[in-house]
Amino acid sequence: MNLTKFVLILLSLYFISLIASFIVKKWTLFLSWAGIIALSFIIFSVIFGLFLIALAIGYAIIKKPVVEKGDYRIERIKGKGE
Amino acid sequence: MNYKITGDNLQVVTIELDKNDKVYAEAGSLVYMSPNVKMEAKARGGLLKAIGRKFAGETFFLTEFTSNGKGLVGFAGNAPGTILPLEIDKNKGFIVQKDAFLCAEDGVELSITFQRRLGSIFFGGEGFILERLSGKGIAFVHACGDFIEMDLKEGESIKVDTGSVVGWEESVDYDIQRVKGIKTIFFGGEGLFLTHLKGPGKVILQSMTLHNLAMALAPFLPRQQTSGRSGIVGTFLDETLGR
Repeated sequence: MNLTKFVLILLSLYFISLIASFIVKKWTLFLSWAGIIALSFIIFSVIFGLFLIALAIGYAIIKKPVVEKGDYRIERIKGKGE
Repeated sequence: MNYKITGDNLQVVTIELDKNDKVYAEAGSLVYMSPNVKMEAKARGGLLKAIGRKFAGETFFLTEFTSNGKGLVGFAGNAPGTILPLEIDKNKGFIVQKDAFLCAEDGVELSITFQRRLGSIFFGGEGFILERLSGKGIAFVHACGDFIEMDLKEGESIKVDTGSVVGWEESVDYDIQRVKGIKTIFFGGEGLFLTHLKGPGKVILQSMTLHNLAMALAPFLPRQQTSGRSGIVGTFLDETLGR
């Protein structure tokens, strides 16, 4: 995941929000341009929240907990001044 | 370069500089310096790197300290915690959490890097932007709490509470892993995910994050009074009555 992909995800989510705002304008007709922008931010925060929930569910399924084998001893831990 | 870390939970690192030796530090981290040390603020690495640093929680300008003879310069972090020296090698870059950088030798390069996985960005606890220390020399990092260091061998891993990782070598794989069991997820207190670090490489963990410290102190902080005494008379009465 690099910066470009991350920005693209956010931009595509905002683009969806913007389209949704235009649809609302078409239905209601009284929204100003500033209103569309404000509405798009509100829809974006809702979509982003849903995206995070979906992502958490997705990762909860993929990233299964695994109890691994190994030999971990306390001698390997180093603290302050050691 | 000689250095000495003093203190327990509010540590200061004092660096001894030879003539023309140079160290640089996060702006505002200076505690003291000898009079033969010259201090100069610089946007090291140019405008873009300086902007990048700002995103990583550092300052736009870094302060350079050059000595005109044997000199001393001391730095401290901005929260109760620990200072740790890191040996940075050309083949051994280090990634540290946002705002962890304190100061470094001139040969160390401070830049920003990004989390590679989407899951780690949102649920790893360290965010998207991190700091990368590369080049050659000693760098000092500072974070809240005490530190625990561990060298992971090839294939070995460790699970850490999200947000409690201070830094890791570039060779370490940083990922997340779900907590097992619905009951543990909801009532275990660690949330849905844990950070999963897989070796080889060194990892540094912290006993307390700044966020956890703030949350622990929050109930004891004085609240603003909506009514009551204020101004000079109020202050006088408060001090007289011991409130």
